[in-house]
Amino acid sequence: MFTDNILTIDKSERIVFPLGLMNPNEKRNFSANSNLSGKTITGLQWCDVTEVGSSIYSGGTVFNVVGVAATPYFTITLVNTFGQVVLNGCPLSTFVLSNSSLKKEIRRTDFKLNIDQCFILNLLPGTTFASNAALVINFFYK
Amino acid sequence: MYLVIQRSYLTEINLTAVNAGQRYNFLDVPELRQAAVFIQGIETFTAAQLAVSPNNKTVIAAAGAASIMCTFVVGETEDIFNIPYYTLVSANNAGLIRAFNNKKINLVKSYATVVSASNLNAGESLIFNWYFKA
Repeated sequence: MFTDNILTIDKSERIVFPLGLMNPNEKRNFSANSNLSGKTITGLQWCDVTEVGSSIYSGGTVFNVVGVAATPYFTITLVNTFGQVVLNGCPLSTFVLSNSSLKKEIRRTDFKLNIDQCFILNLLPGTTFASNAALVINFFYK
Repeated sequence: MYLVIQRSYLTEINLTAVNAGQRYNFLDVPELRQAAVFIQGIETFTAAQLAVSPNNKTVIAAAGAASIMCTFVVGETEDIFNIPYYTLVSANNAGLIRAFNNKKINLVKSYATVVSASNLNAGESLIFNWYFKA
């Protein structure tokens, strides 16, 4: 599907995805999220430190947002409400807006997610993330 | 014109050797083989965007992108012939994902060609993300 228009934001949900003690090659699922469940996801954005700073507060915890150097080491897999994999191992760098060489409009999408079946794969070799490390992902939805 | 991502699938070609003129065919991917699958965008990656493949192979360096050409076959025809790998790297094109006009790509007949061994190493991988509707 193609469109001439950039995304018109209706609603968005910022998810702080904890990487705490995540090992290389580990997959970690998203938590259930009632705001996103069954909603049409219209856009996706991975926010790195340039956009959200190096620390972020969520749910009573201060998380350290991973640095730009970690950008090429994550993929995201998204599963729709029919159980189909809609994004299969898509590099997260595809969704970064702030990286100067990757600047783009918010990536537009069109699917409904079963968010707790979706996961991030960590490909950073030889590193286990600190207990308070996190990624920040913005889901735009309607 | 912007691509609205409906589905995507990441594939990899591992360069077991890098000799000028060598061809590597894509492997069969059942999810992309179905009759109802239409390719709407193709994005390729260098180590700057994805350093390690999901199979733990090193992705080619940014400088190596110019050493690879890609041919995508529709049916039996090489509709997209020798398009540079570089051209499909979003980071080289202000973040744009190259859009394709609902192509039914015959993956196993499509291939990547090493046109020069420069800046490539055996064991590195080419990464393709296929955006499609099904």
